[in-house]
Amino acid sequence: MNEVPMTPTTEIAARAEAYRERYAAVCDEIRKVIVGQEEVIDGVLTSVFAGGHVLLEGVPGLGKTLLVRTLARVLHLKFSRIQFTPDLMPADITGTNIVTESPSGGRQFLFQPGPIFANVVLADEINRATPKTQSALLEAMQEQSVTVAREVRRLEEPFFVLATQNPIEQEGTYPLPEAQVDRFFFKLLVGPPCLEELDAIIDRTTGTEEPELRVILDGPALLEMRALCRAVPIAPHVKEWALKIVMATHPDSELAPPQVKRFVRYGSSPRGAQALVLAAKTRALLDGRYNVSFDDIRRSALPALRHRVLLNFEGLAEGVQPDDLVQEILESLSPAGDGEIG
Amino acid sequence: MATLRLERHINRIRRRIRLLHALRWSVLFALAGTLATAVAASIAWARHALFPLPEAVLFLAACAGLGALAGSLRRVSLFQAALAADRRLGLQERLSSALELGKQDARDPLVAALVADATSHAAGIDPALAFPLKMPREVRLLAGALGALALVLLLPRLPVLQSLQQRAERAAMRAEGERIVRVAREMRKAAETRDSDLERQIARNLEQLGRSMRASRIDKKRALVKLHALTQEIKEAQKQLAAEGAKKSLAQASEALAKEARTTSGEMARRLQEMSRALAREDMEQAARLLKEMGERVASGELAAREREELASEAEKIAVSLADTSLQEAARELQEAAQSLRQGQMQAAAEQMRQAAGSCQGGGCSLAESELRQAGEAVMQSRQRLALAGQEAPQGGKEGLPSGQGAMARGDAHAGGAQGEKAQGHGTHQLATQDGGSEAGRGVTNRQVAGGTMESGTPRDRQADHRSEMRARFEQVYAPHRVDTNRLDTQVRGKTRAGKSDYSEVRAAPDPGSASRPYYEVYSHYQRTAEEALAREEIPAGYRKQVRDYFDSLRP
Repeated sequence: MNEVPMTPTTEIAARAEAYRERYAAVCDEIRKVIVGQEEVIDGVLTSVFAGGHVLLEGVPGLGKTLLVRTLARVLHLKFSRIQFTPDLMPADITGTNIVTESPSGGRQFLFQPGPIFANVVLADEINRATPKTQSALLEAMQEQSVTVAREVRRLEEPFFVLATQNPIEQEGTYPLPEAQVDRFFFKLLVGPPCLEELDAIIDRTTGTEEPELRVILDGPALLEMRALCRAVPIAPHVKEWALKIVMATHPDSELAPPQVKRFVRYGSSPRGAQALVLAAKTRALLDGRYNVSFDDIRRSALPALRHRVLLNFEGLAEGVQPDDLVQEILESLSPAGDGEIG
Repeated sequence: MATLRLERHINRIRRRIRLLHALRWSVLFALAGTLATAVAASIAWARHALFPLPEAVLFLAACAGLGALAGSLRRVSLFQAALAADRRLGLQERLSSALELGKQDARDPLVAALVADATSHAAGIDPALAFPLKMPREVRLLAGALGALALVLLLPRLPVLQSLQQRAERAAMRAEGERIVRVAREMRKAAETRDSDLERQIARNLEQLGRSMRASRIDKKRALVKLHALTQEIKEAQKQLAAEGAKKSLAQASEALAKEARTTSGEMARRLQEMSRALAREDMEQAARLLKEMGERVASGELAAREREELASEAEKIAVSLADTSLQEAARELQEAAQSLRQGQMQAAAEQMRQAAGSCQGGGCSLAESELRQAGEAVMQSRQRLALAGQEAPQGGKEGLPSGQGAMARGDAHAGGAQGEKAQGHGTHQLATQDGGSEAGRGVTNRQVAGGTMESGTPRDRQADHRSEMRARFEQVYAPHRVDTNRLDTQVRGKTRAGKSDYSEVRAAPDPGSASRPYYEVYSHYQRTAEEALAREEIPAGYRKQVRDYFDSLRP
């Protein structure tokens, strides 16, 4: 059937159109630097537009850090990078009170903000720091504030953490605490490039030309886009399916498929459902719709839930992949409307 | 309402979905109907009956129609229709979301935009294109089931697949069905003339059965059972009509005549008693014969005046006793005959007595009774012919019926069990004992022993169950050096010798058993044997009737 062109010419339509254009422009700029990784770029931008933090996982050298740095440049936001190492301390992230000498000769404590006080924070190789240090991000990521010496300091909006981590099997890494992992909106897996992509990477990085990046968005524009994304309505039957998916990640749920019951220790928290719906709303807008579809939910399920499904010992021993479990959940739960005619 | 236009568009889709539902459900119902018909046709085939084609086609059409109705009445909500359209056209839940959200908060600018977007999409949908009328996937199953049904319906009709016996039986069924339909129509006409509900009912039942038989819708066994039931129904109707027409029963007439006989003596008393007994047994033939004899004596013209007076008095007594019974006509003619005798008009008297005999033979019944009797006879004849149909077809081995008095085939012995419920109504077991009455049973099986008591001349001995005392003889009969049975049932011819025999009759339900041959196949042989015995041996008239009644009651 031929697609009928969208007719509403209201302010909403214009804002939605602007949303898509900005998204496309940001994508284009990032693609000037990053070769391939379409899914990762899409996931990162979806998280940023929805107001969530991203955890990028992949072996070193796949462009994770470059992607985040490029994004920061395109977004014209205050950017800081924290290289996580085993000896990194929480205060190195949040900042600390230091004793300074006043012009009058007296001494006073002055708060020296840490790198967390930025709009875009790149937490590079986050799992190389100890859990204690990793946990320094907890408050910042959820409440967007930092408490130092009993004083709560607000972080500037927009604020998002883009963390990279190496696969936990690597030596010298500490697995992120569950509470920390749960605060990431998406977990994206960065895979190796294919031959064509590698060829393009070599051409771009071994020549003399450096791509010039345009600034597409500033903070207020991004916040406006977030507001529009959150305003997208979701119909009850679509929401119900999304919630059922989240419920099915719990091994004690009636909706859980047998594999989940067998291999999962804990299922997704409500944050998983929030991420699923918000990401689906973003995708709906990008797709030119004002409603969330089952497909939007389906496409968002893996990055939103894979890090929230915690395997039990048997699952870990069997090498079960959370992605497979989420996939199984999606297959076992049919959305409403799977009737004999439709 | 914001979603009004959208609902209108979705409503068109809903109607189309209902149509598809109707199509699918009609196929499903037709499939179920086809399977049911195939099962029924298979059962009919197993019972050697033909499942009627027109009815099968009508049934399938009714199933399909019912399915279409059920499908079209299935509830399809607007939301379901919207979801179906979303799925079918890849609209990403635009319509269903707009429908749901539009009802909740149409003032939200994003919801308004969504409803507008969905309405514009819905307006462009052509339900016929989006939901084309294509056959549901169950059509293949239906085609297969119809093929199987066609085989089950048509194969039994192929003469190649029918035995000679089956063909003969079917031909007889058709012919007898046609006859019964004719009888029923005549009866119905007469019933309409007389406005008789009873006859109308019987005619209707007869016609139904006749049609079923003509179309081979029922098998032979069921036809015979139904014919039997109809015969009984007709007999009951006859009795009812007779009771309605007569103020006095024949039994009462018999008693009155017996009283008269006791007041007389000699030859006249004997004849009156004989007539009384005939009336008591409702043996009209015997009564007619006695009247005929009276007529012949009168016609001989060798009667003295005293004998004439005696004969006139005798006729008068009989006439008085028959008055107000169903033989009213015979009574009137006898009265006239008595008067003629007294007036010396011998020829007239003889003729009137013959007429009285004729009235008696006819049962002295009304027109309705007479027609009922004729119908009953026609049905009985049809039963007889149907029971015998296919018997001429070759049957191999020991399945063939042996001939000769007292012979008993393997299936005969088991038939009592097969008859089951029917036999319980008048089932009689005779416990026979014998003391050297015969050397061996005349017909023996490993279930029953019959013989020895045949010297009494009554076929009831056939069912005699010699238990304890006869067991030894049974073994003797079955001694391998005497019988080449090869462990199969066989028959042994015995020889009656001098000696005492006795039997006693025990009324009870028949022993349970299973028939190796249908009852109706063996019945005719029994009846023929009994008729032969009746013709050959000196059996008192009263017992003759009893024997006939017995076989009539067993008639399949």
